[in-house]
Amino acid sequence: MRTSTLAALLVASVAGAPAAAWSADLTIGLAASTTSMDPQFYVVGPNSAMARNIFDGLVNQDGKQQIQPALAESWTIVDDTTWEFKLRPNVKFHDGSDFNADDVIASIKRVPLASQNSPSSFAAYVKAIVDVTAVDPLTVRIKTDAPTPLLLNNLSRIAIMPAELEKTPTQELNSGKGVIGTGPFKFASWTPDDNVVLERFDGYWGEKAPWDKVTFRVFKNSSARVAAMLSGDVDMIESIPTADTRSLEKSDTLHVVNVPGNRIMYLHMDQGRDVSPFAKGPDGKNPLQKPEVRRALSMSINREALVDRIMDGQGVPAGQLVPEGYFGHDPNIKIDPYDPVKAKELLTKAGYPNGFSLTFHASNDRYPNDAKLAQAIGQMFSRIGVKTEVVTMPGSVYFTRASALEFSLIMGGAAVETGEPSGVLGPLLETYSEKAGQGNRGRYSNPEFDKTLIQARSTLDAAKREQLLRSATEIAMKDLGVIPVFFLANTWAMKKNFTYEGRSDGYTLPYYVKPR
Amino acid sequence: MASYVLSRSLQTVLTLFVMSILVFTGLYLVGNPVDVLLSTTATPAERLEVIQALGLDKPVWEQYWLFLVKALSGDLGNSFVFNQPALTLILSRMPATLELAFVALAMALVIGVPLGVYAGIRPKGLISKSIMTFSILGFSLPTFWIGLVMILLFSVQLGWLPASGRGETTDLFGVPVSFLTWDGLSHLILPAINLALFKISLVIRLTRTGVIECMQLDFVRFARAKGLPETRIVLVHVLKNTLIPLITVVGLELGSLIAFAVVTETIFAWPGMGKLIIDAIGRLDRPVILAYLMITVVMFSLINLLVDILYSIADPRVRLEGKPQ
Repeated sequence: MRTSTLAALLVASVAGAPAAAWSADLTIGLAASTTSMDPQFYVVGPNSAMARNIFDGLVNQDGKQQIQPALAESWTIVDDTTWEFKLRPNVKFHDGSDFNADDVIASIKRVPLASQNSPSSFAAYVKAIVDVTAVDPLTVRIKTDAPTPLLLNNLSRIAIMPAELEKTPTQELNSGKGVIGTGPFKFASWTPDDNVVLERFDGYWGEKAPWDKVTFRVFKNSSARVAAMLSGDVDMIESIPTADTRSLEKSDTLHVVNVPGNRIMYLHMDQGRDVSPFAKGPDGKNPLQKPEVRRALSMSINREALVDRIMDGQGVPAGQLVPEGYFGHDPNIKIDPYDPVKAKELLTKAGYPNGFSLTFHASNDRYPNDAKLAQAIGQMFSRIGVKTEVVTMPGSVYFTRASALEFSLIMGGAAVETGEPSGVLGPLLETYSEKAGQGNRGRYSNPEFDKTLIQARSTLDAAKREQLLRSATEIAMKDLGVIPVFFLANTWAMKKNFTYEGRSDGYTLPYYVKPR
Repeated sequence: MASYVLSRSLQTVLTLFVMSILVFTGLYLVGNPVDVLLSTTATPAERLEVIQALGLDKPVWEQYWLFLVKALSGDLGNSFVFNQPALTLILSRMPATLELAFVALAMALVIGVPLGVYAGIRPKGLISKSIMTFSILGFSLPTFWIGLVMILLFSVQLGWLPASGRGETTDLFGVPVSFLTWDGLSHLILPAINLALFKISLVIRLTRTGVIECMQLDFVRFARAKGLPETRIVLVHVLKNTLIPLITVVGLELGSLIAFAVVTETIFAWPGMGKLIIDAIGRLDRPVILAYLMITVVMFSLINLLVDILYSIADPRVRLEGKPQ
């Protein structure tokens, strides 16, 4: 009898213990630092990820970057240029004040102020908005200058702050004053480039966060990050170096989460000039202008091998610019098969039976294994007779020169930040001009493609819009304006007793890290 | 003395000026920060706006002139990505780096000098040979590799010390330091040893050579003939003469410890200035790079000045003003 009571007590204490222990602290090792506590200052992954812990948008992006209600419970499209949002009632800011329509208006109006001196500002996300008005304290009307189907995506990027912060500049927020949102965690402290500490916000409108206190520490060096994980200094790290993936997966005390990411690695080929500096056929002309040549290059790439051998499984081969499960993904487009024989035939058909000479430029410090990937792809090109030389350089030098069109064939990575294809189709493939094709370093141009994309941009009807985006993707992939290679994976490692679903945008959000 | 210090300060200002021109034009040639910083979705018009806002559209000489005018009033510009004054950013990180550097230097002297003296007195002994072998290893193994091995051994396998970061800090005369608490100290040990290892080896070798040389000089023989105890000969007379080259080298090494502890700081995620500069270079964050290098120049000049003064104390034959003897 006595022993059974004891046993029962033991069981009870053991069963009860985890719950008590897990309501404790979480330490996370990040790969890059947050450069500002102002969520509206600088559009860059680490800042946006950190902001998501403290702030909400009217809507938020979920793990696959699809739009979910947040501070707005629902919305209706009144007419082509007017949207009405019903706000969530009884939401509190971290300072205890109530959230209402005025805060939404002030937060949108604050963007230009926060954009001052920003190296990459949020202004682009609000430029379509011509007017924001409060219909009543819990209803907001937003007017746009033209039909803007991406309005929700754009709004998911704008952190909502208390109205009285409308005139508060970035510097003041950086000092830690006024970092007030409605998110699951409140701000505690920040040491630039070193650590951020957050505490649970008990008045959160959703389910409360599972952690009392979260400490983010920054480990730029990936070996140091892995060492911190192995030694137990941190409970979880993001962005595992590819070389360590497999050894970490085998560990008894850790587990690894690997999900397809939203960053597409692609090749951009000079298509705008008859004579290109680093691609020359026997006649001196630029062979990359011919679609057959681009197709041949694409078919010479063994995408499976790249992902498997060089990325150690951290990636998914790509045949278009958005991953599966995204709005606008076209299931009819197939990934170019690895077929060097067919590739050679195509080269011959294009008039290059003996290939041509090519220098392939890539960065060596911007994407995981970028230099190794370039080397491997260069060898694959050589195998079909294209005499390829590979040159890699630091991103700080590379991007300036690539933008100045000094190269002929380059590798880049673009994140699909909008959760649908127009966010990459536009920058990479639209005809270059003052207002478009900003990242079109190959100067691809197809009026048919431009027309379809522009039409998609102003179509509010989701089904029609998806169809248009698919058509645009089909045109671009038929021409191969860029060669999609693969999607980078996002990875996390954590102690065995934690779970995290992972996100395609790579954000590490402790709210979704759960004890199990 | 005063005029000496003054002329040295003027030299420093000149060095700063030349260095800033070199770095400024160098960075200008490397690339345009906007291409690194700006999101790919920004339109060319937006790109132009950012370039104008950061003042990068002006010709390089004009950009430099604007920098110079502001610098003279103590404003080295705002970091592009932090939007905070570059100087504040760096100075806030300085205590961590200084602490690491001074602890490493202290280790180098406390461990290196006795070992070096011992190896100098008994150059043929087995222990001396072991010390010298150790110093060769300390010299030749890369800091990066040793750091990782130390983490794997002491943090991952044995679990004795934390792998990274700076522990708890307490304020000492308003400066946050970490060696006063056990938590802080435990975080400090590995990176300090990692940083000190090379310097220990250097100090051992310098001291040993100095001691061996001195031991053969006439004054040692004279002291022995006078009947002075051997310990006094070594610890007072020989050591004092050995110190002179040591001061010069250690002084310079302190500068490099502070300015270039980058590798150790990166491996151990130590929140010092070194980590900041690496990122700043990758992002072409010009104000931060410039401010960092200017601080480095000032620091090196200061240390050199101190070394010269110490030198004149250790060796009375040296006169700072350079007057003929």
